[in-house]
Amino acid sequence: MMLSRVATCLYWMGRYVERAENVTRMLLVTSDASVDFEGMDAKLARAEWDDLMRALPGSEVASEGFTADDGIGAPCIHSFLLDPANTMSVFHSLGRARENGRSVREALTREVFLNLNQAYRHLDDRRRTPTRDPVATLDAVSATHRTILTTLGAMEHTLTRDQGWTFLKLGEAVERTVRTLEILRVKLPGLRAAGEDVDLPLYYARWRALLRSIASLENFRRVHGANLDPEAVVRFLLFDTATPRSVRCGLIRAKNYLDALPSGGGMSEAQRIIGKALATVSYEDDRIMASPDLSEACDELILQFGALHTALDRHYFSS
Amino acid sequence: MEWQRDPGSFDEIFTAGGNGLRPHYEQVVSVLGSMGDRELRRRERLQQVSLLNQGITFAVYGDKEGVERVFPFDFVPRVVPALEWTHIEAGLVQRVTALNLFLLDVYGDQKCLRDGIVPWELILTRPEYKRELMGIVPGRNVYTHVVGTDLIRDDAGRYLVLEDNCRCPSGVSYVLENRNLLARSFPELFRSHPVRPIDDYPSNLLETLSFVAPSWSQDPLAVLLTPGLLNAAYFEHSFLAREMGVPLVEGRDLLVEDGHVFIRTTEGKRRVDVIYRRIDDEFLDPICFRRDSILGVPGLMNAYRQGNVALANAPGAGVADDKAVYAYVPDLIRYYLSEEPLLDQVRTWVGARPDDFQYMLEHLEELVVKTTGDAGGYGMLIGPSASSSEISEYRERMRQRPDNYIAQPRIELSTHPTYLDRAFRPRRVDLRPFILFGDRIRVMPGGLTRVALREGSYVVNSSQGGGSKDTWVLEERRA
Repeated sequence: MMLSRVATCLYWMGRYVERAENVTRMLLVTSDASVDFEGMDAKLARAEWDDLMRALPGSEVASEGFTADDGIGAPCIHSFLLDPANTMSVFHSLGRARENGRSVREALTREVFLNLNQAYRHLDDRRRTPTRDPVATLDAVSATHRTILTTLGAMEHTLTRDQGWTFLKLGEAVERTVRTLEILRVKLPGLRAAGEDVDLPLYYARWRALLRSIASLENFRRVHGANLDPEAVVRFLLFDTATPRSVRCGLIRAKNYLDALPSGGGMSEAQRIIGKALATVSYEDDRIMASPDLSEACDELILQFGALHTALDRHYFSS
Repeated sequence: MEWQRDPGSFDEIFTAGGNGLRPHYEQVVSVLGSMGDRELRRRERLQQVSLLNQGITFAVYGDKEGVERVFPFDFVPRVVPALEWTHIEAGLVQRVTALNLFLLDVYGDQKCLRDGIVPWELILTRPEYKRELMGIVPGRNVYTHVVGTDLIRDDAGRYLVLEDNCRCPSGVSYVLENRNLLARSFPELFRSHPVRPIDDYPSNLLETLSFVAPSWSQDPLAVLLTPGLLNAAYFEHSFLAREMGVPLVEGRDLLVEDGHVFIRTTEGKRRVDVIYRRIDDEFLDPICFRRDSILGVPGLMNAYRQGNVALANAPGAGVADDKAVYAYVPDLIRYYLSEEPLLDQVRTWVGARPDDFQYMLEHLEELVVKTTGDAGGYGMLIGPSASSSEISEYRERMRQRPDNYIAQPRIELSTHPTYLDRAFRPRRVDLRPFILFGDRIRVMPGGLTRVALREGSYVVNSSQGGGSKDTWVLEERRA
């Protein structure tokens, strides 16, 4: 038995923790890539940060107060890590996750709340003592990433496998898949259009950065070895079931969690939406790959997640 | 390590005058004395971090940075020997039994009023007395499922009841957390003491709640009703719900249909049998009480009246902890139980009694005068520290409505050594044991010891510079 309010809070807590993890990782990867590219192609380095902002829609970055000496990524890192006014910032997400967790603390374990609270408090301490030193800033991002991973570990290994857990993990699966799709829709058109006439080492470095920003570089190498074939990368991130962050993998997880929830007899609207999206990704991979601009396919799937959210809200959250 | 004394009060650790140590504190003093100041401060820091990380904090209202503070915890435990506790426990059981009988009576036959034990007009003018609840008998005849009774010790070390809390006494979560905290940070203190465990409180509370569920419920569903995240005691509400494994609900999670209470779940509605409510009577039901309450549930009182849901504590129980009723509790114990009260209480003069009132007027300089009904020290006169013009002004006001006032002598609270600024300093303490009334009355061994951290202060409230201590009741066989 699960209160609708508690289900809502757990779902959002799952989403916000996952979002915080994604944004932290994207900051680390983008920072590394932009440092790599800056000497050779400063425009490309700046483009990495522009892509990051486009992949995190709704975000606002104020660049006042920063100079070129702080590094081109400094305004972005500062804003996406610590700015409470930036609704995509890690601080904002962890704060929302914590508020949701705090209001349903009785549904969590001590370990989960303790780690989440600690992650938030560490970041809050950083916010109160800001630094301009780029190394210290990056260190703060990595440290934050570690505390979030610890929280995710506590969630995975201490929570009761009940309906509350299912809602939490559903939120996590939805958020993760949406984040992957947002990155793909921003990155793929440019990367696929570039072709091989460009600087080859840079070209491959950008594909590697794409894999890393979806935490899938190592997974990809395990499956495909060192051969970084662009088409294989795209297929891997969209359709592979061996990497936990591919779109198909996210849809499978979301479907499994939805199937575990009480549907109230028959198939719920949410199940239909995810079932159809999963079928498209599973059986129409060739059609999707044939389209010249993959951002349309990504947009279509992102819309489906919007519809899923509405269905969840109607069925479970506002009964 | 320095242990300071206050010659003017009863010290919990040291005997009066000399350097004598009460025997049940010998080990505590020896263990703490063997640690250096650095070690003590290191452990204190660990405790602080642990409290912050676990979120055992309260928000300071009005602080725009929204800084959360921990409820200060002092690691020097308060130790109560077994024999002393046996006396306290028996006294509390007796007192709670009598208060519950009083409530059944005052909302029923009103025998105690007709027999002149308590004056009619006194009861009928209490705002906590709810006429609309006349004739409603709560499940299993229990009004006061959870009681927190505040005890103090006078300068002779005698335990006195200062106040009964029969509505929603809070603080029990700190008792349980304090024990965990101390056991983690000072394990060596526990090695040499047979400390009675307290961790069965949540399951005892759940048993108490299940006991009063409507009789047809095979597998009663209990919920804890909280005003929500912004309430100062929210941590406790959430803590108890988690420890009992029951849903923590807000008013908006509940609805009433056909005289039954339901919660809104992901699978539709589910009937609720018992509500451990941590909101005041006034806010329970906007139809019955305050119409502007958004915390409550419309129709809840109707469901309660029909016996379809149990409320703990029962509505209307507040009249039993009224300041003027307090003066009559010893008489009530004699009246209902034909026993002498086992626990003493603070001598109280009641303005409604002409002789008492005369005495109050003549001795205002020595007395603490409180208005009845009002809570939180509003309209209080502390005679010993008031100016003569304040006193004469107050005297005039008292003459307008004598029955609105009670008076007590100022009691010197006992002090307990408390680690502050690198020394053990005497600070005033009280004790709030928690009593559960279900199939029988169970007293949690120990309770919340609150300590006034400011030198010379009598105020132990957390909002005004108070802290708390772990409270140990020692096992009989070895104490």
